[in-house]
Amino acid sequence: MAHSPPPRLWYLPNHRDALQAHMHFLHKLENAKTEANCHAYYQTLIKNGTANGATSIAYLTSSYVKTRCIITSHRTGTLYKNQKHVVLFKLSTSQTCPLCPQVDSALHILSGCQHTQIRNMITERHNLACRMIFKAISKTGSLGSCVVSIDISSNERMAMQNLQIPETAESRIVPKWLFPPRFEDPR
Amino acid sequence: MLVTPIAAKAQKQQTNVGGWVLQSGRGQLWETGSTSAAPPATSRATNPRQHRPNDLSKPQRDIHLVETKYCEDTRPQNQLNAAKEQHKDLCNILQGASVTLHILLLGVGGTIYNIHTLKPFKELGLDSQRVRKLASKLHVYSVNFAAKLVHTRRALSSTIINSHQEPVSGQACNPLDPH
Repeated sequence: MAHSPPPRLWYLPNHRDALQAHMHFLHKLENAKTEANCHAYYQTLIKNGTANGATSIAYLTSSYVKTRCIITSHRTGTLYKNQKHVVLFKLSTSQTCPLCPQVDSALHILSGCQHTQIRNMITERHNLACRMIFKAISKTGSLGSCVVSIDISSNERMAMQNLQIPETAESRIVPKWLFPPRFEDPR
Repeated sequence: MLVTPIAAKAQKQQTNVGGWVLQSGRGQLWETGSTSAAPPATSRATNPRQHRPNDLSKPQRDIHLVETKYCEDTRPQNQLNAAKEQHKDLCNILQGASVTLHILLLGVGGTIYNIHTLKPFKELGLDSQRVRKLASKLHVYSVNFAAKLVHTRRALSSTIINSHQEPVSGQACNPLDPH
């Protein structure tokens, strides 16, 4: 006697475990741990006072929807399209980044990829943040006149942000007068 | 890197008795008397008592090293240790009364830390309003840049994947130029 085909619609006993199991089975949506995930780490950081809650979640009100989605998925550990997820969904067997020979992850995308273009962007992000900090210190901070050496990018780049290297900061290299008299530069 | 006179506090322009006043954005350090505040703007250019950081003798110098690093949002400790290790030797070599290393950490996903971001800003002489403003600017900037990085990465990887795929039928109909 032939079995009747399974019904197309059926009831889920609950909207938690049963729904999660169903979604993972059919759509491979990863069995997310509700206790030990990135979001929980994040909440801990804010609760114990390490991270500043008000400033760190300001993107939810001040940025575009796409940016909001990307950052939220990064913070909840579900940033799709890194090799970790691709392997999990059985679309590939290698966890290596498609652009460089390192292991791929969300952190790798945002700060570790060695592809020339990405690496340059990461360097530029650092330099631009440094320039913003330098601008704040030099124009509004009480120690603005004490800068003796800065290594945050070329003079042209600084000029683009209306920044000038102060008179006291002669170069990117730490001045010789700060070293012991007979100190030899290993370079 | 900043070099300040040892008597100067990293507070907002305080006048110390027989100490120093730091004029923000003026590029000069001024020695003050016991009661006077900062000298008037007209006399600044010709004041003979002005000093530059390199005029300070070794026991008068207070050296501040500022290192900015982007770190994993939930684990700032790794980059903190890396920065300390990176500047350990330099801190030991530099000649001054004291050498302070300020490590500014920013999360790659826009996280701003109380201890590792806001506190060093205050130590570097910014008032609380400026600190808040700068932190919020850095947050917006980091968040936007993170989104930009993800978009770029997706575009680059899809280009690579497409280049490895076999040519479609339209391309097969137009073979490459043999010359």
